[in-house]
Amino acid sequence: MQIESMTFHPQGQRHLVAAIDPEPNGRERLQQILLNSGIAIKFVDSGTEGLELIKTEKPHLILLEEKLPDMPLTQLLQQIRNDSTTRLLPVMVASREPQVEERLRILQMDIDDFVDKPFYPEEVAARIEMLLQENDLLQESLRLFNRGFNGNLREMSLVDLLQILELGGKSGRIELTRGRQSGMVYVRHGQLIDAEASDLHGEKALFTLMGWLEGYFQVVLGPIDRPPVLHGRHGELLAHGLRYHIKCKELSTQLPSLSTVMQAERSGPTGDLSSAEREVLALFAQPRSLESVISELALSDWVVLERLKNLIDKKMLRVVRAGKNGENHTSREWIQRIHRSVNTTKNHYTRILSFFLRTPAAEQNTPDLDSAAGAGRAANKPLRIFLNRSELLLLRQKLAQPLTAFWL
Amino acid sequence: MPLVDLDSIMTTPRIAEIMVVRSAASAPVEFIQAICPHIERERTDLVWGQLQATEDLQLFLYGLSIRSPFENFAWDLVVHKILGFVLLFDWHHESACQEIKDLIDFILHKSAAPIICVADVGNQPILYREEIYRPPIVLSRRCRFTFCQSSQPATIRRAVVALLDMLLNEVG
Repeated sequence: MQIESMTFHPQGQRHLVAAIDPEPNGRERLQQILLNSGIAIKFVDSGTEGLELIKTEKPHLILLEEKLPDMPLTQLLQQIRNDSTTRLLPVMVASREPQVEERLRILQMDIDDFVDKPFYPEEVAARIEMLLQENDLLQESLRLFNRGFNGNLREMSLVDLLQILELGGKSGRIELTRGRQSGMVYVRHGQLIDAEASDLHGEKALFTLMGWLEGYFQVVLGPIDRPPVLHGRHGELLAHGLRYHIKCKELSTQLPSLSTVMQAERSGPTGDLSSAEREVLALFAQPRSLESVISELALSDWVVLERLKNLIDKKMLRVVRAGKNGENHTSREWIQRIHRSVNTTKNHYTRILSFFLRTPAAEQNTPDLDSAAGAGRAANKPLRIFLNRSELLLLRQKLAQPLTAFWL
Repeated sequence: MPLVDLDSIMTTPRIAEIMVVRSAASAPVEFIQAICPHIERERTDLVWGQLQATEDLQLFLYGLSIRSPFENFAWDLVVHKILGFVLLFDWHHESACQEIKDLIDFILHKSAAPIICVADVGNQPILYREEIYRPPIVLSRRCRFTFCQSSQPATIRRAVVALLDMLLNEVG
């Protein structure tokens, strides 16, 4: 069957919808309405033709009929979702299926919208427009994401960044700086490959960097051509790094804000200080912030924080100027937007589904929950209705009246 | 020929009784007010509403809070008279949702009357596509599920209409 195409609007369409539906009814009306909104639509009759259309025309949205002549819906969806170029494409399914269980089964698939057939073309067009708008937002967010981004480690730690790259299966490097110190972490397809920090490499470098509570990061996405030093231990390293990071963070909460400027007390015995503590104290000969001292010392944050805490507890340091926390929401904000956009249509039906799943019988796929709910003798008794059919119809008619007539 | 005694031939009004149980501390006053012009409220957890459908036909709605001394309620007397049950809950509260799920099984055990679960979204929009819940979702032969907006009386009446539809299916 030939692929139909539409005469383009003189001003050109911004979007293209691929409709995979053998049914010809309603096509013209839907085409016209979408065209008025600047959306082109191309129809094909089968899943195979649909896949070819998606590959060649790169539509912005796919409208699918549930019952395709050449392949099941699940297979077509799988092929669409397994392809990285179409993984996030919005998919709307149209179905004539009257049974709610079947409808819910379709809804549980990886689709973005569902519409009953026969449908009002105006309604479908409105839904298509809405999905396209959401997708535009997602694509814009991903474009920003894919250019790389930067931020403050105080807002987003290295562990957070690694988890995000893992979720997205991304490759790239994370450049970290803190004062005069710098480090680099390499990721391929979401997995840790290698790390460098000063003279350290591999695991030691990674954990040093994971402990950084202060500093800046720059994520540069792109292919990484490096031998995998940390390969195969991604989960274990992340978990360990997260624990270490949390420990550092907990310790830092016992200290003033790291931007607090402190100075060593000129008077006071230093006899009971360890040599390590004296080394840190010496750095506070002049007023300086805690974070600058942390970044200067080529030690893990945990070690430095402990020493600082001991000095403060022993009142060897005094506050010159109280610090305040800076905020950098930029990275986190639009990463959250991405996740929100991707996840918006996935969880809406879970609670409704829970009504089906409230009893063990529902898990056995039986539609009759009454008996399984232990209805016992009540279910076995016939229902006694004290009204006849006419009376029920009269009641129904009264309740179904428009509001203006209802109270008469 | 004696005069006809009209009183003796006037029919007794026919009464349809539906129970509305709400998963909240107070009775479902707004729900019943959306249907019945005349309501009486005995206590915070109990309300009664009456709608005159025709000259001879009335609808009584009994509104009850789930937090009433429920266990002591005269279920065995009431269930024989009740045409159907509306189980009303606030969709935005997870605990209310769970209470209603438990109540479904309780009522199914006690009564053979149909049940409609109505999730109230208040004055928020219903975020689910209409074709999902209109007609109501069939949870089982005797139980349906739908949404209403307590700020929109028409949606409340639709829920009760859905219950009547279940009864109409039974009478054939």
